[in-house]
Amino acid sequence: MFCIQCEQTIRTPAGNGCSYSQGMCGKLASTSDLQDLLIYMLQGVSLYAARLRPFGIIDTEVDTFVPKAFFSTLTNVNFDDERIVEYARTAAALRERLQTQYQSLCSESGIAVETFPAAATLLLATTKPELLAQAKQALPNRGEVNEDILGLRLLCLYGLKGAAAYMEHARVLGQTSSDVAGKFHEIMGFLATDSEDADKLFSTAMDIGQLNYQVMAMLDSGETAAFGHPEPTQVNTKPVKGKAILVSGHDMKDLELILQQTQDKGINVYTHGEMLPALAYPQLKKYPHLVGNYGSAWQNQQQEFANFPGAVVMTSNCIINPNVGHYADRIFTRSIVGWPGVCHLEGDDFGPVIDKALALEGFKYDEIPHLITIGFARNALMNAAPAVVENVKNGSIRHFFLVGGCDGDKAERSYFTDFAKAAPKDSVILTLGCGKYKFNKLEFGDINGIPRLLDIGQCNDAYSAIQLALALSEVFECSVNELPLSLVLSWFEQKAIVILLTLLSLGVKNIRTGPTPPAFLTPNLLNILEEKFGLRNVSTVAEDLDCILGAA
Amino acid sequence: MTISAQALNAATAHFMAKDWQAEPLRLICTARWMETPDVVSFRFRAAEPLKFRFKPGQFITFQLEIGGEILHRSYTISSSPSRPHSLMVTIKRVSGGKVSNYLLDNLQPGHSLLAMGPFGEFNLIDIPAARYLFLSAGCGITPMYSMSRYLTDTLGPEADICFIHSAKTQQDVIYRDSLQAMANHHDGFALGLLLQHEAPSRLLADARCYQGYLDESVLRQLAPDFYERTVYVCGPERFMVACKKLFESLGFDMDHYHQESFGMVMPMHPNNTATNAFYSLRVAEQSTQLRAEQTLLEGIEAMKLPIIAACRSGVCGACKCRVAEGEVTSSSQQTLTAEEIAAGMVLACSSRPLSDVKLVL
Repeated sequence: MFCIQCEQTIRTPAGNGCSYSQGMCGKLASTSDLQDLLIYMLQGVSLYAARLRPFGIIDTEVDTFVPKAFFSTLTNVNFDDERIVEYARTAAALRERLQTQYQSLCSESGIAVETFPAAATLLLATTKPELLAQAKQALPNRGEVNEDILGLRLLCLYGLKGAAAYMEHARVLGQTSSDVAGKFHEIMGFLATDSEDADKLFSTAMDIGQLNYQVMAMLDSGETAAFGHPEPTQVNTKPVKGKAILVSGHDMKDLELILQQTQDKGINVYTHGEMLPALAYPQLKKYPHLVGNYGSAWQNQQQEFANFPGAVVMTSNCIINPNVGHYADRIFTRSIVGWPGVCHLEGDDFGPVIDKALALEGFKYDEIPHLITIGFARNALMNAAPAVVENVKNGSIRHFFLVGGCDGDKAERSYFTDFAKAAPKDSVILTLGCGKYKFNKLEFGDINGIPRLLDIGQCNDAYSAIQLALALSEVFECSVNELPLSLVLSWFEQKAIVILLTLLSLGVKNIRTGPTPPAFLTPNLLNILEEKFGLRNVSTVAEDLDCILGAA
Repeated sequence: MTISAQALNAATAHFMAKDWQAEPLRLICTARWMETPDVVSFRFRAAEPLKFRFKPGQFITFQLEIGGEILHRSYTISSSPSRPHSLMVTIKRVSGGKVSNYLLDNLQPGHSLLAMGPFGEFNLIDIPAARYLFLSAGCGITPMYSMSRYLTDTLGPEADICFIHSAKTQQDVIYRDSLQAMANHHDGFALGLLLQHEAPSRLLADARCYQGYLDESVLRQLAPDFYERTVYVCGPERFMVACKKLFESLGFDMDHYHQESFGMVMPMHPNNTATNAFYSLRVAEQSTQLRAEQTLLEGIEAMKLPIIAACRSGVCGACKCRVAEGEVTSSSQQTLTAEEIAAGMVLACSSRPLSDVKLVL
């Protein structure tokens, strides 16, 4: 195996990347290899899909399937070899369908059939050992390649994977775009060419960022159309007495189905991790049995799920080994998520989850509620904007920090807690993603009624943060980079990578990221990113604050 | 009149309930009410019927998770074991009081929390006496209230209690009505009140009530036979220091003078500027950083090293350990013998670093 896509990947003086029998995430080498093979097959599908578009041929099944299956290879999503192989077989079938169409179109219109990279023609083997042998040619570090070029390819690959995940999230909410899908296929196909053109790879990374900006806008309108605009909401983060279902991941459609099906059943529903922002959407918070949030970010799930006396549903990333905490029999996976031996639910019926929750003990007691305020997405921020602007003008607010992204279990991540705590009292902290759990239960107070901690939402709600920044830049008649706004982003996996690409492609400068730079970015690439965008890794809290506020 | 089978069973279950064994226990709040504008009492029951058996004057330790942090705080049990089916705790709002204020703001009937205990040597059983003089101020009234209730419930007219309580104003007198009732119903219970910030009104006419601080003349008026009593003192640090000085100056036999030393003690920050100091804490092969205001216990727990810390208040002695190198300051040395202290033993929960420290567990 070779996998270097997330923050916890192995780093040694000899080289970076998980390349032994198991990744640091627990993914087995076979799973990793099969995922590489799947991506390779998906690239083959995209090659044809992109070529067919000028002929006006758009296969919506393909447009749906490719990003969705790609999503299954994201960190902590699917660990089930059989499911991955199934996806690869579907990809092979779809590719054949497109290939046939393409070839017949070419012969009909007398156009020469193009030569495609090997991903377009690889004949998928039948048995698992054969598939694993085939996977060698699909490794992300395949071939002899300069390490900077490899780094750029991986930046594109992982960035596009993040965008694919958001495309699937948007599609679930009925938001699709033929243009976006077309662009996606074009880039996905390009990555199969193993390009060595640094400029082209770099501009592709920026294209991915731009593409993702469109996807996040689609996702935003999908979520707000389905569930209304998030509104500032106080939510309980402690258990209440009763039977319980815990819903994790990003898919609010699943949460809605669960809420509908558990009505009047005496079951309380809790959000977990990235589902927390759902509690602020009018069409979800209207259910009285959606009682609050339980637990924190994904890396603590083995303990938190073990202690949760009910059923758990993983609607998307992140899942980690459920056998450690002995709850594999009461956790359910959805969509692209998978774990061998864990019940996977297709369709809209959550009956097995409900039965499981009813059979389990549930919480025996109410705990003392701990309320936190969430729901400062685009609309709420815009409503607050006049007050915010006034407080900036009268000097009450000196600076804004956007501190968010992914959480993880490395000790260095205490940086983000310390940073939030150390941010001066006349600064406002915006947060999003599961990185917020590093500080979202702390007390920050307010500035003339404006809470100092504003929880914008899920990682993809970076879109809301961008809209606020754009609005502020209009009011203050300056560029976003001239605003008293600093971004301090924590990254763990590919969704964070693509959001970073989006910000960079929008020209946002001087972002700090941490706790460590992605292992696939070489020192040369990091230097270029710093030169071009002022992008740098976090230092110490004191140094970074001095640097930011001293300059502001 | 018919009684439902369920109600009958519940009452029977409580009647048959076992005694509390000292172990972590889930308590469920059944009621809360205001005692004064900044003091609230909470009544608890156990998750399953249970008789709370503890020594009057002892405390329990609550374990709470607030914002991802596990916190422990100890509160005196203000109810009496002579009324064993519920437990009462009385909490005052204090500026910067993270846990106390959290409980006041959030704990409502129906909510549950984890408690450990009972702990504490400041009680009627470990400090036996025949005639009692209780001196308290502010929220320090809580053990005295438990002890008074226990003595009047169990000894009736034989209880010989002189109780002098100090408060800022009349409306700051915690348990005012109950104390008055106790005084009215028990000849052996003599109540005196001292108000610092206002003259007593006629509402308190029944009690012997004075304005001002406890001094020799007030003491002689309210407890003329104080030399023959065993003294129990609880209140803010300043109050306890003043009381001790007064009794020493009167030539009182200090073997019969006892004070509660937890909870009311002011946090030990010699000055606020020192809080930026970091010291290293080493235990065997491991080490961590400790701020000057953190306890050794916090450092030991951060390193996930095995240590038993039951009361976390410098009372039970479970967390004793030896300082091999470096200097610490301790707010309690209870249960430690003179030899242990000489050998460098300290209570991890009550000691803070003054330099880099090396510990032996």
